[in-house]
Amino acid sequence: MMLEINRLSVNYGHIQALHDVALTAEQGSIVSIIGANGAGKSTLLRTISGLNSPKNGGSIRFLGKEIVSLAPHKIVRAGIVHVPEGRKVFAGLSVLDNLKIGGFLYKGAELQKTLDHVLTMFPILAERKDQFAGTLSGGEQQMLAIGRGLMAQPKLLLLDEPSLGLAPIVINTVFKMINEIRDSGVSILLVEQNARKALTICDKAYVLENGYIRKEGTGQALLNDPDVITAFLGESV
Amino acid sequence: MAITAFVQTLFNGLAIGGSYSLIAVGFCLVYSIMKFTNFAHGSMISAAAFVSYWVCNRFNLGLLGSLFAAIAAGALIGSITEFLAFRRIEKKSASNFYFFVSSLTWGTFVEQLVNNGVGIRALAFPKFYPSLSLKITVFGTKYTIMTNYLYMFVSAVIVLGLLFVFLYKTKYGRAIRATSFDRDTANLMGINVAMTIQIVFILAGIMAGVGGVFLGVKNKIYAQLGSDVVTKGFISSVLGGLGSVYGAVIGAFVLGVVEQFLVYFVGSNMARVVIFVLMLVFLLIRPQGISGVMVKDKA
Repeated sequence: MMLEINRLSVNYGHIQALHDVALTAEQGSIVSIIGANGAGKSTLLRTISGLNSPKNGGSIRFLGKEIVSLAPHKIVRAGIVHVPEGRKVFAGLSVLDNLKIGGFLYKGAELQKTLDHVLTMFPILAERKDQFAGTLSGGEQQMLAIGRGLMAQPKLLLLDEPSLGLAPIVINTVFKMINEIRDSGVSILLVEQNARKALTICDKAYVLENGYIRKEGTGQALLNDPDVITAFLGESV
Repeated sequence: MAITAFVQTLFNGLAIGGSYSLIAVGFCLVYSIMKFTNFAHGSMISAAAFVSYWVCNRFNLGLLGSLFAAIAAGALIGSITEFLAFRRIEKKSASNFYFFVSSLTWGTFVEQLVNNGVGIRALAFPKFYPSLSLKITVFGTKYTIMTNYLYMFVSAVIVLGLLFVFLYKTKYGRAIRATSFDRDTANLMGINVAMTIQIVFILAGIMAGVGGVFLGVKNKIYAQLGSDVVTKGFISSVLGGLGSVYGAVIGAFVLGVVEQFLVYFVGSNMARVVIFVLMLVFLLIRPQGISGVMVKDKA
């Protein structure tokens, strides 16, 4: 198993954001986590990547190794890369510098190889490589954020709301890229509010509500689940 | 104003501006990455100058040797400052007020150490230059410039040049810029943030050391050497636009030049008053500084 989370609980001050979360992701799969605002989706990703610390007793195993107490930069080294919500590109740095920072752990020929690969994958970034990242459009910034994440050569990519604030046509492109990335062998943990998209693309999905995992199943099963339909897909049954 | 006087004043201003820029850039780098004002910055200048003085006397070093001693001392002091005064507070993500108190306390402590080391009378570096001033002829006009100012200017330009290459051409420089923009996201890129902050303090210490030697040659070495000039460094970086390294450099040179012209026209006593008046007026008109980056303080 690529990622195996057990009994994970996280506090934000006095508020418990995650309760006993258990989750698994297999190599080469896309796993989606859907849920409303404040359900704990981002907290879950931030805890996996080490930005938030869980309460004692929780376990996050990645490729068989416990990573729960590691610092974020060491978790990147282990092969998990987190593309944060809101894209968080380094606005005052050039597109090229943003990408190179994504590949901070690599140098020389290896860095250049990944860079060439990412620039081929996202031709728009190659076109704009000398521009400040802050001058890109929202969709381009999302491409940059994903491209920057790929520069770290992840085995598992955590994507937090990649479709947030984007036009529908751009969202389609982003989801096409996500599929392509999976096909290249990178596993993906996808957090989305756009439930229909997220359930359509994934192999497995979890529904997170108030910090609890309420449901899990294949994307197709959840797409047909009456509770999911009323809560997230905006149709009455 | 005769052309000779103009050129000489301009040159003095650039030389003084060079020493301000070393202070301003160090201060600005720390500000950018930590988002707080490091009031201990001045003490690093005094301490590095004092250590350099001591090493220079002990081993009979010239200017270059003293500079290297100051660079080594500055790097060490910067690194210790970060580790002892700020690392713990940083880890706890404490409020800005603790940084303020910690930097004041640490700065005063270091300054007192230097004070005890120096004794009652200010210390002077040995004579580094064969002659205090140089006569240079350009296009048939003779100019007299201070030897110390010439070396100060050249060293500042070299150090700033190396710094910019480091910041813009190396991966650790990129890491510093990224971390200054967004610490959490930089961390997610595999950048060790604690180490990056440590590097920034070392850089600030190195520049404080180089500035300290030349200011020590100019003004002698005493405990408040640093805090006396650090205000100018603060002003420079605000003048340029807080948080922008380019801005800090430009601000420092502008400040140095304006100050020297004021000295020429209204005398050094009045210049000290007028420069602060100009500064206040500038802040009223353009608080975001020359480069126009308005930095939000750490919440």
